[in-house]
Amino acid sequence: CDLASGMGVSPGWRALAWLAVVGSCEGGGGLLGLWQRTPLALRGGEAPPMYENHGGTVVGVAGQGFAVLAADTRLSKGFSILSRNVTRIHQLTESVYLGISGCQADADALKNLLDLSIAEYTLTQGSPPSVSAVARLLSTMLYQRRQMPYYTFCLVAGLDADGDGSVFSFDAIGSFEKVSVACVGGSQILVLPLLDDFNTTSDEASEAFFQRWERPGVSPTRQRPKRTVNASLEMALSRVRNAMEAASERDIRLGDSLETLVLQRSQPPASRGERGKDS
Amino acid sequence: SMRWHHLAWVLVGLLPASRSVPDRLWTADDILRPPSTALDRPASDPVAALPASSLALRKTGTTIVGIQCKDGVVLGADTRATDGEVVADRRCEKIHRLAANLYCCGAGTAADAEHLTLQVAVQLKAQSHQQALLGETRAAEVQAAHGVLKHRLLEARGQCQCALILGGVDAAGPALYQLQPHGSSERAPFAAQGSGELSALAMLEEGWREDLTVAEAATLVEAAVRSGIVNDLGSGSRVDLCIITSPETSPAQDLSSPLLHALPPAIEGATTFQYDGGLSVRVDYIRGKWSAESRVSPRQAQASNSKVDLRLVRKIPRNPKLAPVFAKDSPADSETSDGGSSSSS
Repeated sequence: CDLASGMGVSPGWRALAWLAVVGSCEGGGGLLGLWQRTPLALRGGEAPPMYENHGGTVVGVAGQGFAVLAADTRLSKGFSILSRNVTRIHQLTESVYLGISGCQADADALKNLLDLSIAEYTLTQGSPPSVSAVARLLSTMLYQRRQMPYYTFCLVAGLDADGDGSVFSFDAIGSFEKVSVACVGGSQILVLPLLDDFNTTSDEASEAFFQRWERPGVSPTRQRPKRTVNASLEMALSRVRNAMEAASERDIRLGDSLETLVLQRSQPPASRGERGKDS
Repeated sequence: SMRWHHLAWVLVGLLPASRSVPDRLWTADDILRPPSTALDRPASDPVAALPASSLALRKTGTTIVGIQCKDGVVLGADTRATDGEVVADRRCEKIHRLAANLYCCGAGTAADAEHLTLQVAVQLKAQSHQQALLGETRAAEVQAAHGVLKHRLLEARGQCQCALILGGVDAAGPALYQLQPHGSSERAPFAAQGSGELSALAMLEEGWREDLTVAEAATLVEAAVRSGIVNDLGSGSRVDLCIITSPETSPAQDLSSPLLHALPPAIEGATTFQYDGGLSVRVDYIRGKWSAESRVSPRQAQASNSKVDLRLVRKIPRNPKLAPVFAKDSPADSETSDGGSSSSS
């Protein structure tokens, strides 16, 4: 205003003139548009991207008396391979394991925070948390970062108190569900249909389905979803391996080795790696 | 009332804040690719706003390689066509035939490469028809094909996004040309293009010599393409080779050398063409075959599914943060695990 009075005109004239000039420009006179219309060279260049996707696919199967967690071991960025032997499966407690895909930095940070939280839980409660408790904890942690999420796609797998498998699948911001078969990561859309064999109902189950379907007023799907697959451990392992192998033919990010973790009731956890394609 | 210096103040107020003034205000990138900032992304869904791979840096996955020897030209390519991150075709052909003695590898947008090479092949065929009417059967000249391709690429102003490696043998001898999407080209003793070009170039720079024979060049080309297949995600599947030689200059023993036949793929077809002036050109088009240890189909695997071996192959690393919490040692610590009776609670 000092300036205006020094110039001898009222501020209104300046504002009108500014509006006239800016408004006459093509593209309107938005202030935000002004910043976007300045050339990149004057702005100092683009900021580096906040997120990086390092690929990875994790598969989980929950069965009666067992749980399977499988993940590929390739770390990739763009069109390059960063590592052929990285592990995506982490142990949280004696019977709870975590598989993470996505941004490796976010995965490591999330895993460290989860370790701390689980240690605090164990010390205060006197016993380690169950699979569902860990899943709820992870969901809360992910949603706390709703505004700038962890670029991670997680699977929590473990054995519950009865020794049956439990698998929880997550999205990046904490929505989770207990499922019998899950797949997250870059090749999810290729692998998940191949695992639908697990959901093929037997004759009795399909018969029950159609009986309920014909009953009016009752939705045929209003039944308790299956939380464990009706298959043996060997069948589950072979299906998972074949699905990952088939998907690796069509997804460039999937390849190298497949690391499989098997949790069985009253048996030590077993893990094995299978060499896959290098290309 | 308004004066001119008042207008100057208004314009000063409109200047954007700048940290430094470069020597060039507008660059081509600003016009062709508007800068995207966080303001452009929808603020309502930060997960959906996670950026995909940068389109500005992505090249369609391919590794194509060419080497010129004094006896002939060797071209090589992988066989993977990608649609983003998904493999669209595991067994596509990237070595296109322009003439009997001219072959061209194409990298970049598949449609652009295929249609461009097809149109140039037709144009060369029309020219050779006209020559035949005059009673001559001359070999198509590499220089002519190079000129036509270069002109077409320049005409398209970069819209035809394909990089080509053109190789052939004509009356003037073997020649290898490398063409870029915007229309520049160079003649080179060896060349590599595509997303796997750096991996292939590393092998080429290490193994190339001036006095390579055709068989040695073929093994080097195969190694370079294989390096691109292994190290680049955009390239994969098999290696295709195309060897164009002039039998009168290169001895027949060279192509039957054990070095060449040690390559995994089998020779599909060797054809020799005769032209006026005594020039003969031999073309060996080798399509990489699936190796013997290719994967079986899931049905076959399930049918012959053997007992799963659950021996502990890789020990799960013990989490040190859990050590004070879980006092008793779990059986996972033992070296051998037979799934014995010792059970954890």
